[in-house]
Amino acid sequence: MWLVLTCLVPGLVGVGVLIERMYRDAREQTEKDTIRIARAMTLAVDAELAKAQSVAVALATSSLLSAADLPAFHARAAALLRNEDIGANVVLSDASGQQLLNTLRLIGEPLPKHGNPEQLQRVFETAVPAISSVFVSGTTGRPIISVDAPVLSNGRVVYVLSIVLALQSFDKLLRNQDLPVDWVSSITDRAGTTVARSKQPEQLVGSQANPALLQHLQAAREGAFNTLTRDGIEAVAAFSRSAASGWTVAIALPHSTLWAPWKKKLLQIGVGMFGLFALGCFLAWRQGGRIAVSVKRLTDAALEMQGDATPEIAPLHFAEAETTAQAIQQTAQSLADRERARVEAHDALLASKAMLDAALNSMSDAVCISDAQGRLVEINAVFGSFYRFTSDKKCPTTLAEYAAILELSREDGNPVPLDQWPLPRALRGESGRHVSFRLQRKDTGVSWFTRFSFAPIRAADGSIVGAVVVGRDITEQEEREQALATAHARLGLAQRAAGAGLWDWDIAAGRLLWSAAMSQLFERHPPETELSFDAWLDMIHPADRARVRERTLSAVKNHLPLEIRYRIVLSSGALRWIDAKGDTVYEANGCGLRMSGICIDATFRQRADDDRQLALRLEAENFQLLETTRLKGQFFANMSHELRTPLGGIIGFADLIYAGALEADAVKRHKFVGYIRNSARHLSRLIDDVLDLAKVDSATMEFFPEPVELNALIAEVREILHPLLLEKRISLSVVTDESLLGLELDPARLKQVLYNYLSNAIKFSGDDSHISVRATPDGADHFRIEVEDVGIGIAASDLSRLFVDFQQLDTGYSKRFQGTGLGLALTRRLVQAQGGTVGTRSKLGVGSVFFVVLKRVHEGEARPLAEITQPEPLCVDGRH
Amino acid sequence: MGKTRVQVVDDNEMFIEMAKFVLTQAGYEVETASDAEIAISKIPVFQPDLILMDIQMPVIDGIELTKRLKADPATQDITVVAFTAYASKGDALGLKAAGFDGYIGKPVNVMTLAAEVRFWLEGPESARSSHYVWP
Repeated sequence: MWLVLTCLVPGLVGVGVLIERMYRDAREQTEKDTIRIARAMTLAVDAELAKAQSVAVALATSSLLSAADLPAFHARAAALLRNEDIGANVVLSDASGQQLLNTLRLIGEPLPKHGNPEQLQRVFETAVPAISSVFVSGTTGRPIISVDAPVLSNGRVVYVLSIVLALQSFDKLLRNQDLPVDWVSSITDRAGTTVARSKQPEQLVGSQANPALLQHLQAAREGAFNTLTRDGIEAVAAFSRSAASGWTVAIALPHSTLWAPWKKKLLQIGVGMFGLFALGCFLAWRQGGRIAVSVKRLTDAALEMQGDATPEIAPLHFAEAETTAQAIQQTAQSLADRERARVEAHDALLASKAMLDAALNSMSDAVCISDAQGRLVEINAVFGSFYRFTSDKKCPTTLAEYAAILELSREDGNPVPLDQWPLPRALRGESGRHVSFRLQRKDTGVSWFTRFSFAPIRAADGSIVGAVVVGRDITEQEEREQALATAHARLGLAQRAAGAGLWDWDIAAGRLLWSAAMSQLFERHPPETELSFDAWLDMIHPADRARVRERTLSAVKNHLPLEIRYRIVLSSGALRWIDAKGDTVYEANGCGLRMSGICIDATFRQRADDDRQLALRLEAENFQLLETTRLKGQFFANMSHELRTPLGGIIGFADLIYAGALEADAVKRHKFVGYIRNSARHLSRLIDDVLDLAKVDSATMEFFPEPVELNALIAEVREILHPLLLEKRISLSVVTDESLLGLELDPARLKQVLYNYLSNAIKFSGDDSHISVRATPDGADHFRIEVEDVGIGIAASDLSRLFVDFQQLDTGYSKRFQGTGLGLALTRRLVQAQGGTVGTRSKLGVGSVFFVVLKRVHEGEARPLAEITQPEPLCVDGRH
Repeated sequence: MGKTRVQVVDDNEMFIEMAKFVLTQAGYEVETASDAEIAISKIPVFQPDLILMDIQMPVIDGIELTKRLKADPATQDITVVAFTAYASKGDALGLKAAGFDGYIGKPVNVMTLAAEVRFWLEGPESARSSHYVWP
């Protein structure tokens, strides 16, 4: 049925449109016809008015009027109106508007003023005839039209003659047209007042016309429009206005009149249509049933195609279905083939999927595969733990969910917006490798370093159907790398800070590899990275070169680490101290393969060392100086005692003898004189010692070498000391080597040394002890004299204080062994001034050996003061 | 027991001889000691009125010996006069602290020695009576 309706609707629409068009055309035609009628009627109105005007003009020029024969004119005018059947009456008015004559009144009757003074005045001024609009008559009180014409006398308007037209005359004009009864026609004057109307003239004539009409009149002279007439009828109005008079004729055709013929036509079409519809429905039902059976059979057959069997199809009712059945059977066949292929492909796919899963799950990186919308369709085993999920099942599948719990930031700490995450980038077709991010879980705050690789998955046509994102947790790696970088930085810093250069010496090839810092250290321009061993040696200060070479080679040979300081000569000629350290790598057979190490600038260190040594030396010197000063103070105290003691004896005894206190006792007097003599000698010796010491100190000591016979010299000294030896009953043995001949030196100084040694030995030996003197060669050029006693000996701690100026081991008031404290100091100076050495070895309670080593031949020169004043290391030991 | 007893303690043999001679001539009974140990053994026996004490002596020096004497009630009344070359003011104060009653400077003047001894024994007025032992 719907099918039938569908067939009919276009027809109905077509008919409707056709009818509409026809109606439109018909209506247009009607409108045109009506306008034409209206125009004709307008012409009729104009003719009526023109006729009235011509009569008025004729009357105005009547000779009767110019002769002022008003009664004759009154009669003539009334007759003319009757004859011509035009107008109601004639009026003659003067310039003040006063009627002078009116055919409705008798001559002599009082007359009103003219009812339309404006038009009257215009005619007086212009002397042109005019037609008035509707106005109320002053005479009859009814609406009228007046047609005015000037009455001229000597070219001047003296009166106006008006022909009054009653409105009924225009009704007649309308009725004469024989228009259909339901049409409405009307005449409107120039001012828009209805002059005549075919319907309801009693109510509407004399009033303003339909406002719609007046509106259209302003726009056009002729036309048609839809309107509601003043008596309430839906109508089409056609109008035409006279160009001459400005009057309009309007004709309104009610819609009902227009529709009447079309209603009938539509009814006929509707019945026809229904008939057609019913017939169509029947035919459709009949044919549709047959089609449905065939289609059902075909559908069943198509539904059966799920298997790989070709479906059987029952007989069908029409040819197209048969064709379709064949197609279905063919399709079924190809579908079955395709299904088999699909199953095989699916099996293969499953296999490869399993392989893929195995591969993905065996990876240590987190892998996810997304579809084109960014939904994760595949994740591997590591994925969950990579994103710090407690279990794989909780892994979200959409990017938004990940954005909610994860935050990505770059290495510089700036967060990464979601559209710059690996997956969105891959889905936009970008791919990347080893892009580093820091991931942080927003919920737990856990963060870790990652490195992502990602790529889009493209279909065969190049469109993006998904993406693969691989993430690697590099937190440990990052930490290791950072630690390594820190260590590198520290090493670099340490190297720079230390000014350290690295070197590597290929021993067999004799080649050195240098780091950049080495060239800076050695100030090589341009920088050298490889140079020969010898080239390196050449840079070393000549004074250090041999030592460096020897030490380096021996370090390799003896499997020792190299540690050496040397100077290098820079291109500017300046010197720089270098501290070098190196270790050797050996081959299996023990041959040195290479030595690697560092060099650092040791100039400051060397300078510091020098400064420190200088400071130490100065400190020692200062101490020595203070000590010397102290000892000198003590020396003078000693000296005053030592000098005063003999002097006191000399003076005291001399005083006694001089005073004659001993005149009576000659024995005692002789004894006292002996005291004086001994004291004077002791005093003299003391003064000699002090003077000698002063001479050596001021380097004014002179030596007078001469051939010396050693045995004789020793005997002389022994003679001097004989009384002392006798006193303590000390035996003295002297042994001189026979080869000691040809000695040449100052005998007085040698005697002084021997005297000091021997007198000391006697002083510190007990009674009945023994002292031996031995003279032996010492090398080819020197000889040695030793004085050995078996006395009290010297403590090891005191040995170093021997030979020092003014030093006496036994200090304080309780000195048992009197002396100036100058003997050994003077001895040392005398010997050293001759280029010799002194020394001792001693043991407390056992005895001492004092020795002197001198050149066999002394040229007589004295060594410089500075070398003498410094106490040189003594050969001091505990042997005896 | 009528004579005033003076003991001379000095390690210098020559000075002992000289002092003994002078003081004996002046009428004192004189005993000598060449070191502190000998002096310690002799003083209780001799019971001197005055000791001329050398400062610089071996083993036990004069200061130490004087301290011992002044600490011993049996000997603390003995007048001890130092006999020293160290005669500065500081030295003198040190000597006084050690218990010395006075001091005589070295080298000794044999002409005034007896008078000085008397001064320390009898006070200032004695010095006026006799400065010299000999004419």
